[in-house]
Amino acid sequence: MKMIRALKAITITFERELYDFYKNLFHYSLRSLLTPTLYLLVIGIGLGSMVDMSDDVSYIQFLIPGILMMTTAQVTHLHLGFEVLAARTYEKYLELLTMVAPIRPYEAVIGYILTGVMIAIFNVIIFLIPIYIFFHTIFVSLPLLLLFTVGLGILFSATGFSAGIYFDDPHHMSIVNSLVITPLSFLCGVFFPLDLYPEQIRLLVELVPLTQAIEGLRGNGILLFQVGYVWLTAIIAVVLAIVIFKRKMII
Amino acid sequence: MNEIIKAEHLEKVFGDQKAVDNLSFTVHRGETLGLLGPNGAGKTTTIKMLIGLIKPTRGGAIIGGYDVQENPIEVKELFGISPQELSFDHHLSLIEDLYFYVRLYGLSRKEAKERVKETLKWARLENHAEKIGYQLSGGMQRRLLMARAMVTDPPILFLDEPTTGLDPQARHALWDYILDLKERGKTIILTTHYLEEAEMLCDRVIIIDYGKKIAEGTPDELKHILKVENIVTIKPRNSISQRVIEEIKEFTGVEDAIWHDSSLKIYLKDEYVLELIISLILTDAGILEMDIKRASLEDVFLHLTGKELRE
Repeated sequence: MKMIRALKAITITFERELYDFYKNLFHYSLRSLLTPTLYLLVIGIGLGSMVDMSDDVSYIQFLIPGILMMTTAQVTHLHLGFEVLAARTYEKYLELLTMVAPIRPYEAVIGYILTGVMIAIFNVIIFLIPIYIFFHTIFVSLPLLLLFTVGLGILFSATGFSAGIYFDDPHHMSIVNSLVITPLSFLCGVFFPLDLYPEQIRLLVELVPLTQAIEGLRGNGILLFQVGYVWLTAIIAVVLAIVIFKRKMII
Repeated sequence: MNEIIKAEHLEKVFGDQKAVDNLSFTVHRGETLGLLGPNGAGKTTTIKMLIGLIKPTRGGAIIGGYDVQENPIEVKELFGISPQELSFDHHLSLIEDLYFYVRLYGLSRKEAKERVKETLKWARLENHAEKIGYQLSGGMQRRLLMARAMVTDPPILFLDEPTTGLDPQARHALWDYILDLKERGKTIILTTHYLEEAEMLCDRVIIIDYGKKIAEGTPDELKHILKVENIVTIKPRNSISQRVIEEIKEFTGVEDAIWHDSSLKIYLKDEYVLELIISLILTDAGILEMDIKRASLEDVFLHLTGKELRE
């Protein structure tokens, strides 16, 4: 009985947030299409014409897994972060839906993170449609893409959710974005191979789950480890999000 | 069990400040209890401790037989709340807002839709069902908060300053909704800093200041704390001499007489001395204005705290 109630609470939170997303589908579609397309056009096709890849992989083929995973991380983190921050501080709505209504903190967090996962999948699909139209291939393995997209979706939804709960000032949210999310995105081997880094920096960069997802999607490294690493960090991030949520919402 | 809410020795300390200090009270089924006090008195903190949003530093509360800290879900299913601050989603219409909210209480889609329809009708918001909360007038927004509290038809309602920010007309209109809830047998805890509101709506009132309970009783019982029937305020033409004020204080029917803000406030236990007082002041200073009123909760608050209710 308790399990059924918990599942219902998670599902309704997920349904509500997804409905909210659906009401702004056009704007979100533009967001998911524009940024990666710009990267692909400017860096992939523009600068890529000057890059000579040593093996038989084209630069576009090299770039697409990185862009897919990078934008998944950025979009889910930012979406959940600002959604939660606005609902909590501006709309004053979060408390009512997650604390006053009969729902446990972990159920609310999971409901929000499931929405983040759906947004991650949506983001990938929207970008892959024009890729398929122009190149007649998506360049990556579909099952792997799903595994890493869901893993990163959970991880970065949880980081976004935590940031949205933790910070009271929207400016602090953008500082986190500028200082953490953007540098992470650019350092994780999206635009050039990791071999180009000095050894010590490369080791640090490889600790970032985003790097493992990108490399895994490119077929470099040990796949099982890479999937496991991304999912393990995702689970840790969810646990942390629940702890932060409870501490912040129940004074 | 007639007792539906029991708060025992509730205390909350924020840093070095005690927001609520050893507050105990009970509320009976169908009763409307008013928590009356100025801003910052600890009313909202008390409500938030009762609904489990703030952990008490000491003490606890039982609602409907459940401990608030131990059984939060069971407790939450028993109440609805109209919070002090306006709260709306920026993308959801009224009907969507209430629909998703009520479904968190376990209602099926069909039941939820019906309940929302009924509630919007009750709040006379059915013609605005497709609007976003922010598109409504102040009075309608407060009615929406009330509708949200009512949509699950809970036995207990927490109304945290439900009329704050409303003009007198909208405030009186909202009182009708609260009176309707009383008639439906709801148990209500109402916080307010409007004395008139507490007098009008509450069966029992607890006056709180600096987190402490300073008085408790029905509005009539509280008024008797003053031991006066009427309060006469006289604005004289010229200044009243101190000798006359002292003489008035000595009359047996007079509890007290205070010179304040160019007027003399006389607390009367018996009305028979009034004519005597008037003739005395007429001779001494003349009378410009005079007002006689029954003792109110406002006078009680002034008497107990030595100050007016701060906004």
